[in-house]
Amino acid sequence: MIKNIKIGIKLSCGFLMIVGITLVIGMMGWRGAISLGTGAGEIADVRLPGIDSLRIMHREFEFIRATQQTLLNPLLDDQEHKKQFDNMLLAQQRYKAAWNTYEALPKTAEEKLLLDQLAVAVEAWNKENKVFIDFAQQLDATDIRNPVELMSQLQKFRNDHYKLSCEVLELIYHDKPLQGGDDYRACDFSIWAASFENKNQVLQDWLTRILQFHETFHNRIGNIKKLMEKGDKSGAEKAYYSEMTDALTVTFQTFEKMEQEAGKAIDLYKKMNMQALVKCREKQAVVDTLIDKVIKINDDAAKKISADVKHKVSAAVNSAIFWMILEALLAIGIGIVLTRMITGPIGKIVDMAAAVGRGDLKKTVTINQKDEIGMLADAMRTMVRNLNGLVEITRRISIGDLTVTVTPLSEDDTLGYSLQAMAAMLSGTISEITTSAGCVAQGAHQLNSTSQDMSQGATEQASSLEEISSSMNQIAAQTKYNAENARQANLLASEAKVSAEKGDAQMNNMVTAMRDINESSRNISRIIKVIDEIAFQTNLLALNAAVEAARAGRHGKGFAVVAEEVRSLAARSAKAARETSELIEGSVKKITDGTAMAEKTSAALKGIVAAAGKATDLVAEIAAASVEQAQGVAQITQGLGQVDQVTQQNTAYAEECAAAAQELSSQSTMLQQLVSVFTISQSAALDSLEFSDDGAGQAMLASGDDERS
Amino acid sequence: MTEQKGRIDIDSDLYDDDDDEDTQKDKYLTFTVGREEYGIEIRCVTEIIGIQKITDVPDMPAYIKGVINLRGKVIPVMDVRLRFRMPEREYDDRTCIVVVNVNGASVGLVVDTVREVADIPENQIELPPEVAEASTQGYIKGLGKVGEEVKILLDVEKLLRKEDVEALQVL
Repeated sequence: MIKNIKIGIKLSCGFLMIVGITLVIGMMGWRGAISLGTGAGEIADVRLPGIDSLRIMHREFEFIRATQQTLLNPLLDDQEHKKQFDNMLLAQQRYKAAWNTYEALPKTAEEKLLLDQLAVAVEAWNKENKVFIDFAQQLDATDIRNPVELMSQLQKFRNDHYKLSCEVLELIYHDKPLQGGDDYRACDFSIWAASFENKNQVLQDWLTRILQFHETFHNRIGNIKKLMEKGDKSGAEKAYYSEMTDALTVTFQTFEKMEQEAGKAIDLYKKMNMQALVKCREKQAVVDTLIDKVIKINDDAAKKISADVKHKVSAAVNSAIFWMILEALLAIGIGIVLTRMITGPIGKIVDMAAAVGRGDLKKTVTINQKDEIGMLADAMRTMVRNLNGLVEITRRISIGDLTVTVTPLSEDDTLGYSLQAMAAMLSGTISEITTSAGCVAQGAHQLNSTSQDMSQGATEQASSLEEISSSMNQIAAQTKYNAENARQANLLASEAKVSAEKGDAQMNNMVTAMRDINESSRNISRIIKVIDEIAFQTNLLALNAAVEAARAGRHGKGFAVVAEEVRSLAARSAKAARETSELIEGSVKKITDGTAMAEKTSAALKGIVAAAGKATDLVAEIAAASVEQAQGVAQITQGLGQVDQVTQQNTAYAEECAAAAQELSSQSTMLQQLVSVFTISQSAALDSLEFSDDGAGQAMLASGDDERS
Repeated sequence: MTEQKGRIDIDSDLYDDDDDEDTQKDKYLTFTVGREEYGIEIRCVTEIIGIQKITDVPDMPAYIKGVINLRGKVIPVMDVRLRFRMPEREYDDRTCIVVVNVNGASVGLVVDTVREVADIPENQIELPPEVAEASTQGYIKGLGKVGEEVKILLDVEKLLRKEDVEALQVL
């Protein structure tokens, strides 16, 4: 029954239990904290402030007492004095504030009672304090801060003056010299009076009065002294008794009056003392006691709360610990139980899935629950069942029965669809293969015949090559012969060239020689010219001589003869020169001709040389060409050899091809046999004739088994 | 005394034309100008020299080439070819200057070549043909036959025109 509850609900319940217990623990903790808070709050907000206020009140009382004590100090200056009153006021204010603070706090009944008592006691004390203040103010009014001191001073002055008067008498009667005393300004009293600042009107009045007489007093002493110096004893005496005595009396009276005032002040002062030190003190003691009591009450209360809280807290902690342990155990227990309930069956299912993963479809689980695990087990079983069905189909395909039909379980049954496609594909492919095998067999037969033809062709090729080869050999021989002839011709042409060059050189030499001859001829010519010139000049000379001779007349006859002779000599020279010149010219001409001919010959020889050179070049070219030809022929021969090789290879290949064709045809027969193992459905066979690659789109094959359970 | 006498003799010989005409008379100095040979009486000829530098003198007739310096003497020179209105020929080493004496003035004649002193007797001399006298101005004295050749004999005095002589005398 638990098994049939959904896993989600099981888990939720477990967690809720845990949550519940946690809440309980939390609640307890919260409660403990609350109480702790309350207690602490009370202490902090009520007890401590209460105690604090009370202590302040206590302190302020003390402070006021101290102020009273200070006020009792006669040596206090005005500022300090006033300050004390201010302080007293401040202390009272602070007290009031503390009182208010305390009053606002919550109190117990006992406290209230004590508080009332306290109020009464404080009131009483206040009264006494007022009295004290009253006295103090009165004293202030007299403005005699230190009455005792004043009293002693006044007495002193009185005595001084009395002493002075006695001294005067001494002077008068006993002539005891009297130092000073006549200058009132020098008198201590005057000096003191001058600096006596006192607001007490009565005193001031008396003082004023005294001073008058004081002055008179001293003046009169002065008079007396003068009189005494003059020696007027009686006058002095008279003066003493008439003048001085009055002044003296009044002075002393006035002093007494002043002393009375001082005495009043002293009384007040004493009263103040009494008030402060006794009365106030009494009342204050009462107040203090009460305050202490209240403080104690607060203190006790605080302690009690503290103890209480501690107790509560420890209780809470203990119970929390207890519940936490309980919860932990519970949680562990629930966890273990739930886990076992879930992981057990899941483990079994995992085993089954692993088996399926390995390929073992025989395993199953026997889980019959209604919850998710049960559903999972059901699904697994369904899956295995379907897989088994597909396994059966594939088995049938494996034995060659391609007539299976695959019905996909749903739109998402990719395996089913794939199998379907596979079966269709296989059917189609097998039928295709069958037809192809037939084609291949045909092709193999054709190949056989073709290869035989090829073999024949190769043989013919080989024989033609033979013929070509022999022709090439002949060409090669011929070429060699040509090359040899060319070489020889080259040699001859070179020789001819050499000879022609030699002849040319000789020609050149000859031409050079002829030129030299020409040159010499020219030189001779030049010389002949010179001779001719000489002849000419001689002729002229002769003529001149003849002229002179003619001029000389008969004396000149002999001279004329000589001149004539000289002329004929000149003529002969000229003639000889001329002839020689002609000969030279002839010679030159011949030489020129000869040179021309030589040059022609030279040119011809050069032509021969050039021709021979050209012939040599041509022949060289012929030789080179022959060589190349020979090389070419060799290469051709080589090529032919290769072709021959290839032809032989081809023959061999053709034979191999025939063999292979044979083999192929036997193999195709075998293939056909193999394919015949498969049985394909008729529709598939028909469809294969127009087979497309879209195997998945194939329609369902005729009546296939469906192994759905 | 002999010297003086000789000189005087020479001088007297010179002035004594009758005696000396024999020796000088038939002798002609032949020269060529152009294609023809010309001759002049030897007694007119002072000297024959080869061609030398002619100093050009301006403002003279064309055939007066200029003057030359002959051993310190300044002699005007006339080109015969130009005088005969023949085309001028370039002077070569055969060209000679025949220095003639004309009325006391020496003049040089530039000729192509000088031949010889030919002896031409009078019977061999023909008078020139009657051509317009204006052209030749009478300077052809005659034509002399020497062997196969004919030489034109010139009258030197006529060769130079009157005005030329005056001009030359200015020099």
